[in-house]
Amino acid sequence: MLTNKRLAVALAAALAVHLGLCAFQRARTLRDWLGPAHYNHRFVEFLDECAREIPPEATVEVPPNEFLLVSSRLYPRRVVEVPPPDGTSPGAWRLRFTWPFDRAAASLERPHGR
Amino acid sequence: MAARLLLALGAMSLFGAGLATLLRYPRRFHAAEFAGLAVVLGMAGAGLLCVLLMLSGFTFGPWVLVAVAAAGAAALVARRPEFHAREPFDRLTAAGHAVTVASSLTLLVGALHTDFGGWDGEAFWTLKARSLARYGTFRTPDFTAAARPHPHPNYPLVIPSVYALIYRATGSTDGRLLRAATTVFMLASFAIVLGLLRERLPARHAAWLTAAFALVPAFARAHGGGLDPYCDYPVAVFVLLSAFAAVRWLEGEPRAGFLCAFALASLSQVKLDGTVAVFFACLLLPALAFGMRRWRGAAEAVAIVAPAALLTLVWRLTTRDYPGAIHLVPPMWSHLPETLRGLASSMTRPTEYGLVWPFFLAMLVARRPRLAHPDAFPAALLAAVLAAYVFILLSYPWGDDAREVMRHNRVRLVMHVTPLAFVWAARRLATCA
Repeated sequence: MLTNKRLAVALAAALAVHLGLCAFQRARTLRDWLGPAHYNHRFVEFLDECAREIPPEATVEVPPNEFLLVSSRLYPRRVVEVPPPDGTSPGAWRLRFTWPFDRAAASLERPHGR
Repeated sequence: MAARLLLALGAMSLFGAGLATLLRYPRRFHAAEFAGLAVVLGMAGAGLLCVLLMLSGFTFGPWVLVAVAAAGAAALVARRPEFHAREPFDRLTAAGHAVTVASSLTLLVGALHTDFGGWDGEAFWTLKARSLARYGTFRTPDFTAAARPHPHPNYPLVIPSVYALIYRATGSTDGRLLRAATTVFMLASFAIVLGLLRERLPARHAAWLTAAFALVPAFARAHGGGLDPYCDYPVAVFVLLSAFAAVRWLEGEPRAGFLCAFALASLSQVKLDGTVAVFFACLLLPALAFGMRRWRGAAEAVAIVAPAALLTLVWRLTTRDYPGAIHLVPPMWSHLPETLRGLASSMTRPTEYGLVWPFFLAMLVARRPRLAHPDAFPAALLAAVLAAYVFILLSYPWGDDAREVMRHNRVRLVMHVTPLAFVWAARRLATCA
C-alpha cells in the first residue's frame, strides 16, 4: 500500500484524469469505426473485386498512386506502373483510378481480344 | 474460416503455453498472465521456427502448426504449470478488470470493422506474408529480384510468417483474420502487463493500472496501432518482455534468463527497429550484470543476449545483397530541435499516449533506482533506444514529405518503448510503500 497519502491522492487523481481522457478518445475512435467507410476501405474493396476477375498469372497496369498497396492486394499478379503518358504491356489488364479514390471514376479494363 | 483461425491461434498458443511452462517464469502464474504468455510466446515461437527453417534452406507450411501444437502438448504433459491460489473477490479489483474487458471489446469492434490493414501493413507486411504463404520461403524472386516491387525485402519475417501460417490454415487472405489475430495478441499483452504489475503491486492497483494501459489511444489508432498488421506493437511487447525478464534475472531468478533470451531473439526478428533495442540490451545487460555480480554475471548475460545477436547477424548477412536497403545519411543536427519537439509532442498529447509519459517522468524523478539495481536496466534501455531513434530520425533520407512522414513515424517509434515506460513507472510505485 502507498503510505505517503499526498502521493497516493495525486496518483489516484492522475489515474482518473488519464482514464477519463483515454475513455473519451476511445469513444471518438469507436464512433469513427462504426461510421461510414473511409475512401481507403472502398479502394481495397474495389481491388478485391478486380482480384476476383484477373487471373493470378496476369500482368496488371496501374497508375502510380498507391502502387504498393495495389501490388499487395493483387498478389501474385504482376503489377506494373503505367508510364505516362500512356505506355502499355501487350495482354495486360489495366486498372484506372484517381486518388483520393472515387469508385465512380474507377474501372478495370480487360486486355484487348478477351 | 473463423473456426480455422481459432484452430491456428490455438495451435500456436498451445506451443506458447508449453514454452512458458518449460521456461518456468514466473514459477507460479496468474491464470490471465499464463494465457497472455501462451499467445505471445506461441506466435513468436511459431514465427521464429518458420524463420529458422527458411534460413536453413527449408520451406514451411501449415504442418508447422501441427508440429508446434504437438510440441506444446508434449511440454505440458511433461511439466504442468503451477498457478497462484485464486484471490478472494474484491469489488474495486473487479471494476478495474471490467474496464479492461470493455476496452478489449471496443478493440474487437475496431478490428472487425474493416479488412484494410493500413498502408504499411498492406504494402510491407501482408505483401510479404502472401509471398511466404505461396512459396513457404523468402528465397524467391519476390524478395531477391528488383522486378517485383517488394519494399524493404530485408525486413525480418517472424510476423509475416505467422500471418502466412494463418493464410494457409484458413485458406483466405481476408484482412479481418489478421486483424482478429493482432487483437488477440494485443489482449494477451494486457494480461502480461497485469502479471508484471502483480509481481510488485496489490491486485487493486494492478487491475486499475492495467485498465489505464488498455485504454491508451495510440494502441488503437489507425495505420500503426496494435490492431493493424504492422509490427510496431509486437516490437513494444517484446521490448517489455525482454526488459522485465532481464530484471527478474538480475534479481536472482536464473530461469528468467531463458525467457529474456527468447524474447530478445524474437525481438531481433520482429522488425528491423527491434535490433536497436537488441543492440543496447547486448551492451547494457552484461554491463549491469558486471556491476552487480562481476565477471560471472557478465558472462551469463552475454550468453542470454548471444542468440539474439547471432540471429541478427545471420539475418543481416543473408539479406545484405537484397535490393531496396535504406542507407542512412550523415545526421542533420540542425533538425534536432524540431525532432525533439515532435517526440515530446507525441509523448504528451492526450490523444496519443494520455498521461503515460508524464507518469514515467514523475517516477523517474521521484523514484530513480541506483545505477547497480535491476530496475535500472529497463530505464537505461529505454533512454538508449529513444536516443538512437532521435539519431536515426536525423539520419534518415527523408524525401520532400519528410515532415508528414516523421509525424506518422514518431508515434510508432514512441510506441516501441511506451509499455516499458508505463510498466516500469507503475512497478516503481511499490518503492513508495
